Amino acid sequence: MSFAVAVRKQGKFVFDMPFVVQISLFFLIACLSLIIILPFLPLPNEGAVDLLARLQPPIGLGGGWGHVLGTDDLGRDILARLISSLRTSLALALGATIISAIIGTTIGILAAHFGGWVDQVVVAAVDAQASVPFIIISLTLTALFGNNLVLFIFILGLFGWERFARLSRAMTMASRGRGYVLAMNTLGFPWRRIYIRHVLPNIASTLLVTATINFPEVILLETSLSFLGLGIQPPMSSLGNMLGFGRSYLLTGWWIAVVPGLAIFLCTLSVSIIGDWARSAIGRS
Amino acid sequence: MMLFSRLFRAVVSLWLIVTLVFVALRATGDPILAIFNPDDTTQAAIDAYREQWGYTGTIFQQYLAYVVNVFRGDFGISTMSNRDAFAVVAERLPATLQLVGLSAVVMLVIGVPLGALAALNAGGRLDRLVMAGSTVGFAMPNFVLGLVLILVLSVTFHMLPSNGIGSWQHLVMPVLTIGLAKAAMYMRFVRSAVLDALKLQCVTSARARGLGEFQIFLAHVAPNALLPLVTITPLLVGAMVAAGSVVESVFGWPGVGRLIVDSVAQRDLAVLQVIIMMVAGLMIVTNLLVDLAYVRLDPRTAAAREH
Repeated sequence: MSFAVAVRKQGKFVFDMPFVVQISLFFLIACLSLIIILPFLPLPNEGAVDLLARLQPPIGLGGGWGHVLGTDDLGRDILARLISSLRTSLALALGATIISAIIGTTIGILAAHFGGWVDQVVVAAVDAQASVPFIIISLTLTALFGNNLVLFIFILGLFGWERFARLSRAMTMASRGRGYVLAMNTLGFPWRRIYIRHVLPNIASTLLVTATINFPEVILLETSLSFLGLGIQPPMSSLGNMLGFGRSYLLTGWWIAVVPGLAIFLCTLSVSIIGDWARSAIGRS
Repeated sequence: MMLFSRLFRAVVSLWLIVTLVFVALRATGDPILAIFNPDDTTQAAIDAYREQWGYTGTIFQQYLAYVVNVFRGDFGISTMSNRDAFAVVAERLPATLQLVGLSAVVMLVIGVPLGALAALNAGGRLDRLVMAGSTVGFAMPNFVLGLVLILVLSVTFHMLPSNGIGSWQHLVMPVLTIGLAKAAMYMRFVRSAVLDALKLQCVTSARARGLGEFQIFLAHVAPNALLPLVTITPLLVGAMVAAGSVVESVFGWPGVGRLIVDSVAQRDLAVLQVIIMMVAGLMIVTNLLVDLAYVRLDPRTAAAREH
């Protein structure tokens, strides 16, 4: 609850945050701005091959202003590729988190509403999902159905549904005993309206914090699969497959792998820091 | 009685996994077409193959044949190497067990003392340092940590081999990669388990009786903190297998993890199903052992189940 209140008086809110959280927020906003202004930046096209400028180091290590973060084995500008990979990875992680929040929350509310065997099936499925490492499931699905983008988004969207389902089920069950739900039910409002208009806004802040915990884990899953060559395929690039290709050039061009690696690390780190802080902020209230 | 119902549940879980794998394999099409090209294979050869692997008759008969084959240890032929799929997986197992076992040691050696010290020093400088380290370790992907280690220890200082298996030097970096990542996770579990145990009444009363802090920790805090830590063991086993698939690929370690990735890339379903059943079996057995250990460690749970 305090989260929603705090967001409303934003001015004071930013200054109340610990320093690391401020830095993390600033970093994420900087990343998002870079993604948005990418088409207007004076950078070479991310796919433009320049064989005469192969394996140029970043600026400060012998490289020039033409390629700020250096170039890869085909002479492509690393900064331009980094930003477009960042766009792919962040968009996938955001989309996947939204999908899994919708799936999980719907299942959780349905389980709480119907109870009985529906509830038991959902609880059993949640327990089973939580006990099996998700990367094994996603690798199996990839092997069975072949590697394609639609399946990949579906797999990422499935990740973490059980977390949302468990939370929304518990909180919906609790709210079914609350006065406002009982009152609306007595007045004859349909359950669907009660859940969507009244229960959901009340549990939204907790679900939002869960999303900030889910988000970095989706980034890790997506980049791991892409790194293994089983996720995003060229010509599309994500941070994971950029690093996977850069791995072959550790001796001659370490920056090709290190730059996307650092980007993944900083993104997951800053979202985790914000998530941890938001969770403890909610816990205090 | 307890033992019997637990065993029954484990067997049911295993049977469910076998059935799910069967359904998944058949849902993706005729297995014959995955192996043979019908244009250049004679009908006689296809029929002989169908007969041999139980692909004849109704789907229910096929299911029975499949279950019988699985319990005989007969999982089919790997399409990658044209050898028995079970043998292909089995020969990779020692390398993975070595890796996972040593990583678990690193995780415990780092995770337990640091987590416990952080909890005893809650809010202090050490606690904040441990929590910060844990956050960083959590955000660091396995393959990035692995590459950084290769860059520093192999490329720059030429201290360790970056790829392959054979000597203890080959083990250092993969074990550190998995062990450190899991230690970062484990520290948090240990910390919160110890924090919860410190809040118990028996600790307060022991303090009132004038026991030393160290004695309180050994006699009251540690046994109570052990329970939640035992509960998460199966999860950690699964997490290590998952981490293995990435880390073994980074370091060219010829274990089961890399075999998963290769068999997915080559769509070698026979090998993949062996690995899935092996991982599932491992998790089911670990769960069973944890449940049984729990009764020993905490007699209350056994008493509660009697009612």
